Amino acid sequence: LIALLKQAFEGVGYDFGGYESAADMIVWGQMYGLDSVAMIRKRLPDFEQRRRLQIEPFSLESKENNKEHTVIDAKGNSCIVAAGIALDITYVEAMTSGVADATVLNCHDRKLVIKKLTDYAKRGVVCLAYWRDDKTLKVVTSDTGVCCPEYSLYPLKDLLGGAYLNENHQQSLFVVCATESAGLQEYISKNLPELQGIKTVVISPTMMKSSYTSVLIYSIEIDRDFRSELAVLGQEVLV
Amino acid sequence: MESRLGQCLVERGEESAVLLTIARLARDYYGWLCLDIEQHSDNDSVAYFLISELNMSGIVKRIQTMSKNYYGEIQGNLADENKLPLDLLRCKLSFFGVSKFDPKSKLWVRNTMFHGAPILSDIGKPFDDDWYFPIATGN
Repeated sequence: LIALLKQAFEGVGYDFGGYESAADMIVWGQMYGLDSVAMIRKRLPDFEQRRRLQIEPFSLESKENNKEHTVIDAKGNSCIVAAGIALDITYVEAMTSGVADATVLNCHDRKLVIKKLTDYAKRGVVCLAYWRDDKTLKVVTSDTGVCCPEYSLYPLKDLLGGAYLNENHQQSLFVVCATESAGLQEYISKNLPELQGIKTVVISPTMMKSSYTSVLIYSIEIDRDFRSELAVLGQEVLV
Repeated sequence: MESRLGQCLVERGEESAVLLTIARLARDYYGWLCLDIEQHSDNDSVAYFLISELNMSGIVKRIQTMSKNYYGEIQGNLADENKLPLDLLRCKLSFFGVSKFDPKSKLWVRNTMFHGAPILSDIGKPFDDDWYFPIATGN
């Protein structure tokens, strides 16, 4: 599945480095119970259309770069590449200033950021990612060294006016890295009062671990049509 | 589609070329990075550089992950017209335990796979489990 996804993403124009990340994020998400295969399947027509219209599959633009708060515009693309860059920057800045955040504007597939968040937690920082849709605020927290993060929802009716969660950010992704838990807690109390509200845990670390074990035993099943759709996208790639 | 040999300045299809020129990419990356440092001296992280030069993310990842591994990269100029893909193929196959390479032309090589592996009649009987190591001449 990884090989098939790599080829499909290479086929739609992702550079080397990018298509490996895409395949890893999707398969990791599926193994840990995030249903990322179904999510990406819905997006295949968009990838296909971008290839047909020769629109770059990923492009970024730095909108604001003041080290404490980086803003990147993903220009309507999947967050696969943008989330990685945003977390790279927040990690580097957190190592010097204790806590840093970044915003990715205009991006899709935001749930895929969870894999990157976990990677960074393994490097010894605490991470947070959050985004909203029209009804809920979705929050992922990952503690230092912990193999699986927690994915929760908060109702948007409890929106308390945090700096970044307004209507303009329906397609934005926010990531935060801190070297200490206390630093992240301080960030949350200052910028995300919503997290004091009632949360619903969608996927706990225990559920994620259990999903991983289950997939190892029972494998990932994809249907024939999806396999063919990926193969069509990868057709242009030489082997 | 199978890859084939070609001359990128003469023939069409360069956009479909298999990415082999890692050394050249690393050199290009070095040049762009030096320029970025000159222009943005406050950019002290490669992450900032990658926002503007996203197409370099592959070579950056490759350098970050492979540069400390002596056998992580093929040490050679793969863009040289005298470099044979066959040699790369032999190298790759040898990782899988292939031996006794017998090149038949510049394009294909005869070889032996699973030399010394137990055959059906050996199953169930004691046999040495070091068969996948190459056999020294004379043994």
